[in-house]
Amino acid sequence: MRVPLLWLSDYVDLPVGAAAIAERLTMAGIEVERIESVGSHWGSALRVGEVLSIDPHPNADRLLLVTVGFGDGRLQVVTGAANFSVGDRVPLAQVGAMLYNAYKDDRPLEELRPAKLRGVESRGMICSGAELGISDDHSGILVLPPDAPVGAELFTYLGGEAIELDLKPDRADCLAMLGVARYVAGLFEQPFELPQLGDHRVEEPLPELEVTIEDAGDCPRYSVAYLTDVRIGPSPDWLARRLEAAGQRPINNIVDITNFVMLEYGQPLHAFDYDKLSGQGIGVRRARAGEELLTLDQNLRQLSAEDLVIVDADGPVGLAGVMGGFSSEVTDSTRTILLESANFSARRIRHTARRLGLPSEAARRFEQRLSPETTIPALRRAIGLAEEIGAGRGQDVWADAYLEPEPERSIAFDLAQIPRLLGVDYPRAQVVGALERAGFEVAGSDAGLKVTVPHFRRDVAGSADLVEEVAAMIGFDSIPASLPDGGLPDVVPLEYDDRVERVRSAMVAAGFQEAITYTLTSPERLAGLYCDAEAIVDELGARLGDLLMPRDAVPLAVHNPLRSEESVLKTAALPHLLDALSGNARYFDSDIALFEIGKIYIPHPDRLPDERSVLTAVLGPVLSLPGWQGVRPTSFFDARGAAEQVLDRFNLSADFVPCEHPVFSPGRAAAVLVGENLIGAVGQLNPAVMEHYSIDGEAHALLLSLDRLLAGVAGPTQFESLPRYPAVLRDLSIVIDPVHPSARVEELIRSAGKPLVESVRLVDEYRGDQVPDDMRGLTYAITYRDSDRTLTEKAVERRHRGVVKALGAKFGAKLRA
Amino acid sequence: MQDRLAELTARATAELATTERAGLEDWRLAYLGRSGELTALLRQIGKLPPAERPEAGRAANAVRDQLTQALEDRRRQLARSGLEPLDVTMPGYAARTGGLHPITATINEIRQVLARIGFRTVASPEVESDDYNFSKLNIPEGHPARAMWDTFFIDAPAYPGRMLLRTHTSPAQARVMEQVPPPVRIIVPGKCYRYEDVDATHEAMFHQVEGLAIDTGVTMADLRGTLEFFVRSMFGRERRLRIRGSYFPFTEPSCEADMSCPFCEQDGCRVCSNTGWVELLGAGMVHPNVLANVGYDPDRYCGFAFGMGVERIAMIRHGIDDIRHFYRNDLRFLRQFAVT
Repeated sequence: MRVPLLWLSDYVDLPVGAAAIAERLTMAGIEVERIESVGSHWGSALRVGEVLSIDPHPNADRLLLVTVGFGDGRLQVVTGAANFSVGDRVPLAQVGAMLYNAYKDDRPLEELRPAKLRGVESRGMICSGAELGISDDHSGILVLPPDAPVGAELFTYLGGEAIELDLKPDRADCLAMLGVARYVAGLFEQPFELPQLGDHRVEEPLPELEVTIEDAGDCPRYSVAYLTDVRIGPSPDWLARRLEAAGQRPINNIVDITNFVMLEYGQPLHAFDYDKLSGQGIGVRRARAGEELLTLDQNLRQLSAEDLVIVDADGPVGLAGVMGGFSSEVTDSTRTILLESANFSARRIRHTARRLGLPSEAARRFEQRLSPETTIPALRRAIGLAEEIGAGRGQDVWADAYLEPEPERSIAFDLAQIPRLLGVDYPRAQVVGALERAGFEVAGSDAGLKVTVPHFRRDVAGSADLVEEVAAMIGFDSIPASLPDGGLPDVVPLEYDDRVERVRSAMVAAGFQEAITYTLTSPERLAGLYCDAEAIVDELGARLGDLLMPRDAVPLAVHNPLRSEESVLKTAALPHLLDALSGNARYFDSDIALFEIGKIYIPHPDRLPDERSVLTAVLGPVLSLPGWQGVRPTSFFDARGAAEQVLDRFNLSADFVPCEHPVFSPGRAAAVLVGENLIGAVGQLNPAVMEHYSIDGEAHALLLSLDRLLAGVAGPTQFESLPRYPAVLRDLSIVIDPVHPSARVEELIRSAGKPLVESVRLVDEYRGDQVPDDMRGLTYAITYRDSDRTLTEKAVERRHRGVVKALGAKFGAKLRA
Repeated sequence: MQDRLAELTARATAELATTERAGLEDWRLAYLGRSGELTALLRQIGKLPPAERPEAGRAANAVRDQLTQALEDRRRQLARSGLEPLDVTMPGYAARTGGLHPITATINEIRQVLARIGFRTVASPEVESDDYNFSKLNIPEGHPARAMWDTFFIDAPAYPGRMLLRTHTSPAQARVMEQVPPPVRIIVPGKCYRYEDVDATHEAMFHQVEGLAIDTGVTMADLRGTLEFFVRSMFGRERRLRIRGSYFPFTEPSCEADMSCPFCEQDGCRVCSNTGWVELLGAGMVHPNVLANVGYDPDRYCGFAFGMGVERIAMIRHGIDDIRHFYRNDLRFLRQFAVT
């Protein structure tokens, strides 16, 4: 909403400038987006000129020589425009004036210099709206109204300041100059004056008119006025200037009056050419299926039962509150007008304006729930204006259908609500004054106030609203600062699980950079994980898929996606992280290690989806060695190591069990199990998947279900007594067939070495000399300890030999020489 | 005497320069020891004419100091040698660590600040019902304020009611209050979504932190104090806070909080559009209808709520000029904020 101070000052004396008004309004909750100053840079070089003569340019067909008078002087200028005639008032710029260069895209402000155009000297210029910086229009010269004072500085005539309001949906009353003026008057304690409304009657009998409203819910009130002896013509200067300053283009006196009153009262009006309507009635009803209407913009609109229409005897003549019909349009030959001032359902108007893509100033106001009490004053104001400017003669209320008049609303206001909500108390007189300045009527005793809500404040319903009015009027800065005290809040059921932060810090310590990716994706992006049709899936792999990237889950689809690539909620986190991996590969040769802790959204037939928390990490093909020591290829064990670091934070140990799933390469993935509980997987990515997501080289991934991981975590770590007797360390090097996994070997060492084996740690894997080609060497460091006594060399030796024997018997392992 | 001292000094020094660690003690005994050469010379000072004695004594002591120092230097030199000197200007072997996303880091900091004054962190669903996202928050179907939130709706025909991506973290207000009696003092960080064209200051996905404090006797002054504590903790103690009127359907009175511009110290700059203030968050006293909707008695309980955009706070703190950087996951961006 653009509010010119010129217009505002018709109703209230403004004691301060635009900046101070803007500040006060903003603090009170009516946010001023910006202050627009029109023509503050024009200065004395820009004047109102009068076209004295127009001659052809001697050397150019497209140019004209125009002599412009400006009171004490005259100037010959060259122009390419031709939308004016002798006698017109035009903006004249003399050398030195600052003008926007409309021929450059960014329209820079430039100083006007003397120039020669095709051999004719030009020491000035007549200007378009764009050159002046008051509009985008550069199609011709801005022709001023005929009563513009020739010779005056343009600023005194066209310039001025306007404040642009960013209104929230509660303050529909401020979609009107009068509403803003009323509030400004209240804030600055100035008197406020409503326009005088005359008493208008037409002598001759009015034609009969019956207004029928099908449903008061769709149209609470429909008021009309009758305007006769209509003479279409231009509006007077004062009216045109106000419209222009508010951002509206003047069109003709009738259209301008409807726009003026809409801006002034917030009440949209519509003028029908009465002679083009048929029958003696006008109605408001839902459109019937199959009905059509040719609207003012000459589009044939297909209507539905959700649209509200204005009808005459023959059918729809207008889309209520949205756009009039072409057949009853007011034209230069219009003599009689039916002027509509109606109150329509916000929901109906919103629906139709959205459906047809026809936002307008009128629809915008209807959508904000206007007061039905405004229809009559707005009508009377329009009739008064029509008579004042000679646009026609009128009868201010011809018919008024108001089926369910709104009762007056009042609120019993307990003053104790103010300190209760604000934490500060104001004297009673100050509260009463604040409410009255905001437009409320206040009566009542000591016990409480009876506050009558003005009809235009439809947002005010209860005590809390009144507290806000008081705070806004007195100023929110009067509220002191304190901290809440009182009861101790309990642990709440939806408490955030802070252990997630431990997972995050483990991943950071493991060298991974956190990423956050979009929730929305496309089905194709998700399906890419399963692009390898020939891939094998084993039982563990299938369970893993169900947990972290269900293949068969149909992702939740967004009804109104912005883009097709963002049309569904992700059911797997890996695709977006792989995109991030490939994106970063353009800039980095090594050390691309990303992780994300986020959600996947698994649909449920009739509930909100299951939002599963998952940890996903990806590792690019190359990692750098510490310092300047070069790089090495990433391996499976880097990804597994990260998983182990996470598990370590919770004192959990997991089994890494071989598994097959289509996102991983065969034989290169392990499911992570804590006890029987599958919590995720690590592995090298399937080359087909890599290709699908445009990744070169090898990459590895780690996927963990945080829900499962954290559910498996026991309480705080329990202390174990420190050992009282020394340990004995023995290394064991064996040669063994690689079909036997290291984890099985470790298990056997533990069980065969019971109860003395305290820990087993793999320290080397060896292939090469001294080991047959089809075998591998494994070296373990075994710690033996007896919790009850100091171990003897003999006892350790006996146990160690037992371990070697068991390994030989079970796996055919031999001691390495 | 002077000549003999000079000769001794020269000889001892030359010998020391080639003496290895093992020979140092022998060298000391030979020159400085009880029966060493210098000691022997000193003994002869007594035989000089009395007039020459002080002069000779001083000179001999100076030589003793000089040789003692030379021995110490040689010892140190030998201790060092045998090791290659290092180019200590080369980089160290730092363990390769990662970093948190700046949004996570910002949320963590917000949580830490508000935890100090008793706000517990709560998690709440991102996919919500119309009911929790709007109706329970005093924004019934058809309310003009619904236009304030451009919403992504989800196709879920079997779901009773409409399913959507939450447009704010406020649904958690109702979710928590429905489950626990007052007092409540929580914050809710999380992702939110708006059906909105993406530009330098708008993303369709963003993060909010919701705050809610309900009890008997929680006031707007408490809101102001909480926000001032927050702003000074996050942005420095010289920052000022102002609150001004606003409108949200779920609070009454409603306000917005601005912070004195940290970029220009209120001289006026592009970031604050020359107003000296940057918009920080929206807040207000929880609307009585919201309290009633969750079964709280609005005559007994009241309190405040606030909601802040995490991206906005991170952008102000780090001077980031384009919100789109956050979710491109470009390591050149993310590594700038690699704090853990």
